[in-house]
Amino acid sequence: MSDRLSRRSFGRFTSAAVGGLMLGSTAVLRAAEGKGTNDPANLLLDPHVCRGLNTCKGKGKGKDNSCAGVGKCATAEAHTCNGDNACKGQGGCGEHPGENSCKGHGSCGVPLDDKTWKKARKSFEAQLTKKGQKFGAAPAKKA
Amino acid sequence: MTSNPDDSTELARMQRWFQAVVSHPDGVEAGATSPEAEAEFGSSENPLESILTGSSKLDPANRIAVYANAYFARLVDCLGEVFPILKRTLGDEAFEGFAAEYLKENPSRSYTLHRLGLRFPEFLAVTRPPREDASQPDWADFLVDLARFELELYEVFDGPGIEDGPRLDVAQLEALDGPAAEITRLTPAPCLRLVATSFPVSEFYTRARAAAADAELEFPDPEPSWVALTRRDYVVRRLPLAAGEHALLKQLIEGAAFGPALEAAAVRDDLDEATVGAWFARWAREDLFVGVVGS
Repeated sequence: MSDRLSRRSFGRFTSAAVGGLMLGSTAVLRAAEGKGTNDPANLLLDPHVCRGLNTCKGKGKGKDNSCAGVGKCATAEAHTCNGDNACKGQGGCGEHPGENSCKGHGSCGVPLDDKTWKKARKSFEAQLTKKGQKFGAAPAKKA
Repeated sequence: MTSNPDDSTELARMQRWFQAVVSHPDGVEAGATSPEAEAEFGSSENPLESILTGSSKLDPANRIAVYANAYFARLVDCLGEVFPILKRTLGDEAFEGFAAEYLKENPSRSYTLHRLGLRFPEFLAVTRPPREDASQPDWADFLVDLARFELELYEVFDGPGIEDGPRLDVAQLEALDGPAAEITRLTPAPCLRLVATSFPVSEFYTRARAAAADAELEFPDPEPSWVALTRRDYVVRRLPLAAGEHALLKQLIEGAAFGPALEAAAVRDDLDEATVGAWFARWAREDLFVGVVGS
């Protein structure tokens, strides 16, 4: 116990902490009671189709794929999140005819170049210029 | 193909060879002479020509390059889904350039693409150009911050959560008295993450998500920012934190008991009880903690 924090003060802090936890937990319980139960079947309402890759919850493919979270967020965002959620919006997939021509994916070819930071720099220089901020010359790449 | 894939062994060999060639980060020619490919059909002067046939329009190398390009295009797409706002901020061309360089150094080695982007923020941090002014963060730091932030969001979204797990037990809290509270520790929600950035990345993220697809995104000025990420009902939530709130929360997440954590916070941030109570109430409302131990 430090000199600046007496036993009495410390007791008030711990009481405040425990009281805060109880207040918050009680609010959660009340909210849950008022909301009713979640229906897991809601997850299946969304028509998204998972890629079956990293975006889904490991439920495999097929039309009964729950894509947990993905389907939910499509409806939850407007109602409960107030725009504060970060649902990935990763539904929608399927093969794109002609994709294997690599059209639109030029930089994915090999060999790969290492000039991308310069492109990024160019973009940010344009923004700085627009904001009227000065900037120096681009430093050399790290050895 | 000139090989006969009639039996399963031959087919399996061809599939392994095809994978080695198509997924090689240096291209199909390099893939065809890689140890993995040569382990299947041996080495030859022109392995692609000896194993594959050409068409009237494409030679063997260009034929299989179609699949190699599609393979990397899909990986780049996947990275874009993990880092959508970074991609939007950089623009497609710059983002795909970074992604391609990253994939060259960090090829997919896992059965799941979930892990594909785990090292992408670190890759950006390591390859970034030096700061013009070492005393303050610059635009490259902002990109790295944004990448780290989006990766955390992705992991919170896709990782374990509290949807089917226990919550704080009010009865257990009621039983805490002064001495018991001092040694109490809280169990953080498995989906709880703290993110500290040199820029207000979460605010930028909100603006970027709300902006029209063709709107220009103005990147923010440096400003230390803290946010807690968690997930409820499969929806990721972002909670902006004050500096002191972040510091105390971090200590509790790392396993500090109420006593030392509160004492340090009170001294460090000159807190009052009302602020402490409000923070803990907020954390409980947001389900940042799911259990009490040590009481």
